[in-house]
Amino acid sequence: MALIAVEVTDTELNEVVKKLTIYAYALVPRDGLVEGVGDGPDDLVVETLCRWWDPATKLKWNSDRGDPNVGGIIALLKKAMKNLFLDRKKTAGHKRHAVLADETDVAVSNAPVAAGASSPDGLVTRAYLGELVERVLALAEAADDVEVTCYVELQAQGGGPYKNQEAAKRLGIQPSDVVNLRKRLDRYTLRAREGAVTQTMKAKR
Amino acid sequence: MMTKKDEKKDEHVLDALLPDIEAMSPEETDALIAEAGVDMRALRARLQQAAKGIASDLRKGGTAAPRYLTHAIEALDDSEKLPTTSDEAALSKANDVIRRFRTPQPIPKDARLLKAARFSPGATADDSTAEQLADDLRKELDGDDPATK
Repeated sequence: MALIAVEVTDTELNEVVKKLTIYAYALVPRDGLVEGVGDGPDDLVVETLCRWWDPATKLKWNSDRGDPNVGGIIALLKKAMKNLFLDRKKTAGHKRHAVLADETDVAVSNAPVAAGASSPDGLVTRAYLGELVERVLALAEAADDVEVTCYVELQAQGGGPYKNQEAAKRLGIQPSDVVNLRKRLDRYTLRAREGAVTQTMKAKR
Repeated sequence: MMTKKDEKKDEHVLDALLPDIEAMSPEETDALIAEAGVDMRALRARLQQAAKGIASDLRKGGTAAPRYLTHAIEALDDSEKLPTTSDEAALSKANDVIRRFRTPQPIPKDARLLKAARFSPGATADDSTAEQLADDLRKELDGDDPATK
């Protein structure tokens, strides 16, 4: 495996920065990245790109995958950003757990507390997924957007993940409809950051 | 107990719900950036500072910054200064500067309009109006708002 640094054009860099920014704003619920850490979406973008630029890191293009292309670079950096975000949540979970153990003077294993005590790291991802689904569903339901509601429920609770073709088949719609509903879903995901959903979610509880 | 396979599956479901940014058109990208109220100029300035920091650390360690990094630093410079490294880079930057004038820029969420005025130097004998507005604005920003007195 040969990892190489890639020089992109101004236009490509602009595209990479904008798309990673959208992804970061969709990932991070409201203003804080992780309770107690306080990073926001902009911090995620900066940290991901710093890892890409820093010659000392392994976040580089794998030449075994062929010549570098902007779509592949975005996919690579998006995955790195998601992992960075989930790692931060796991770390915060471990820290909170350690503090809790110190305060209660109880011997506990080194496990995160997100989504319940003694949870394995995978539960952090599941807890975040549940949180994302809840805030997006609240907005889709409020907008009477049946397609998005059914799509989210299918992916999250109906045995997903399903690719667009398979999701369309299961929902009885065209693949192009799935592409369109995903565009609306992106807007709900970004709008859910504004906090409007909090009231809806509170009302549901 | 959750297995690695379960965790991978959850991550794939996340991928199906989070924005498919690879497939997004430039128009959709710009629309979502505007809707999210992201201050792109501030973010690009932060990115440029971070890239400069990496280059500076490399220099301190006796290594020259690689070309992809110096190019990124140059590309993230939103000032109107044109790069001198190549004609192509200069032309691309000039294009961006002109496009910025012609395209409405997203307004950051926490920004608020304090005052607006149109002023053409020399078009009117009453240049003092613009100076008065600028003076009021300075006072308002300093917390000494003449309108509230």
